[in-house]
Amino acid sequence: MLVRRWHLRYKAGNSPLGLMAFFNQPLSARRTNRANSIIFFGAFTVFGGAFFFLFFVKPVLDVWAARSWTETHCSIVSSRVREFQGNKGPTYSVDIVYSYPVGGQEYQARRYDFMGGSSSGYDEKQAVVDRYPPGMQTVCYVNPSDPDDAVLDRGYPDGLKFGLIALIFPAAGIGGLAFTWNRSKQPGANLWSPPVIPSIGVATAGMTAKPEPGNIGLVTMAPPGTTRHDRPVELAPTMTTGYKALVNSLGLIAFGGGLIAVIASNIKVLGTNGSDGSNALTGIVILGVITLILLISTTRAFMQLSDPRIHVRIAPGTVRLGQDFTLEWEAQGGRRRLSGLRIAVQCQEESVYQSGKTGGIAISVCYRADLVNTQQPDQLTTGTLTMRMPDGVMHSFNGGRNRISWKMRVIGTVPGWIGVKDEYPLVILPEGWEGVT
Amino acid sequence: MSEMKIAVRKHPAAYSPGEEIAGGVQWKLDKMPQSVEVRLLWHTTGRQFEDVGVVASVRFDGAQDDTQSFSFAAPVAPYSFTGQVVALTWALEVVALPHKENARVEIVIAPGGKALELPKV
Repeated sequence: MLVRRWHLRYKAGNSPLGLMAFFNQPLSARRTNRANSIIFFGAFTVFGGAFFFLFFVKPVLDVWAARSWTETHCSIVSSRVREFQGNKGPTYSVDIVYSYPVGGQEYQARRYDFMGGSSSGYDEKQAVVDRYPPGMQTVCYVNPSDPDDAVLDRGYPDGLKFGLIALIFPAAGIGGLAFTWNRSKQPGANLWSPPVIPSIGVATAGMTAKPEPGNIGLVTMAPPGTTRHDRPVELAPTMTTGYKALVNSLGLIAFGGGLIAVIASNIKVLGTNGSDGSNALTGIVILGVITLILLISTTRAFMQLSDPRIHVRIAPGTVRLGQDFTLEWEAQGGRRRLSGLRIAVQCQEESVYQSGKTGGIAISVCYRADLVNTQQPDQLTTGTLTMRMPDGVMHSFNGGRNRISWKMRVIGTVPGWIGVKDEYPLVILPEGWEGVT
Repeated sequence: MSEMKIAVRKHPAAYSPGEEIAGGVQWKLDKMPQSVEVRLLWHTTGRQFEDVGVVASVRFDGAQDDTQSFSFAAPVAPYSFTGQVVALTWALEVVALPHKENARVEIVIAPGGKALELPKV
């Protein structure tokens, strides 16, 4: 009888979604989209790794292995530059046939070096062919365990530089996978995930089941090993500043410098070919952009070293909506140069999206309030403020791809200089929350 | 043809944290299920992706045709809300296992039983 009444309610449309989703995938069984990131970055890792292996690792291993190959006299049978027609113009390869004796038997091979394949740039291939005219007597290197396996030049091939650049792709893929894994294991510093209870047991027919005490349904108990930050906490900025920023910039210079060296050497090669003007121009543009980024980031990091650093503490360390909290701030290092200070708290919606090969995070700020906005010298360097978190707003939340994040923004004005612009993640808990943080 | 229904006693289906969510399920299935589960879950929609979190569930022994009641305490969080790019809704879902015939009803869980509307600042 009871169910019949509910059925009538449903028919009357009291259920907001009008939900009778027969044979549809249950909402609770849908995956939470980590799979897309894993597939995307996994493909980057696999294909980038394969490219890196084929065009760098394998040739290097071959070069090392060939060091023990037998040096053998050989004669050049034929030599030419072979042309391949492609969609983006012709490519060329060195095609040299040479013969050599092993154990009284004559063998032929046509491998010049360990890179193989074809590429644009006719002149460099022709230069190689010119060095090995037909009939020339020279030396080649033969695999002692396989006489058919030989090479004319057992040195490191020029194309290795391109293979090294390909390392960027698997590195980016592995970085993306690590980021995805970490994000799924640990919510961001200013995000909070409600605990998930997979099941609360089995109810037999006619019984009413309730969540077990201590679970999310009851607000008073926290599982063992979890704590709430009732004590003051010094907030850590999300952006890297000071010496750390400088160290990062120097690391970037080391990496970028290597990249520039590789690109520059290739520009030199391409520039001498004559047929690869557009490639050389592309290389110069990339080189210019990298150099510019390095210059700007390093200059900025140096300038920020002399900026004041503002330390922010809140108590309690995790604040509930509607709860009083104390904010303390203190400027150190060059603090007399501060002419203005603004500390604001901000809540924003964040939604991850993917569009083709690119993606991003759609952001909408849903709450913002200035806590401090002063130019008074005595308030610039240090201060304390007690205030109440508003209620009627959304607490921190991390659903995975869709989130609510809170942060404190600190902006210190330094005339004629970069100034302070820091963001500190905040965890804002729901009203009445006494459990897991 | 299989039929599943889920409903809650309260109308409108809006709850404050800690409040009891009571309701019932009725099903009549073509095949004998292993079990039937009622799940309390939140669900977000965003620019492109959705997230789901099941926070509590109750399982009933398999019966092809049955009526059951259930009760949960409304969780403290997350709140139901509608924003500019993200929305979060709560739902009760009944699922027949393993075939996954299902039905669900949306509810609101937020202070005062009123879903938040997040403005654009």
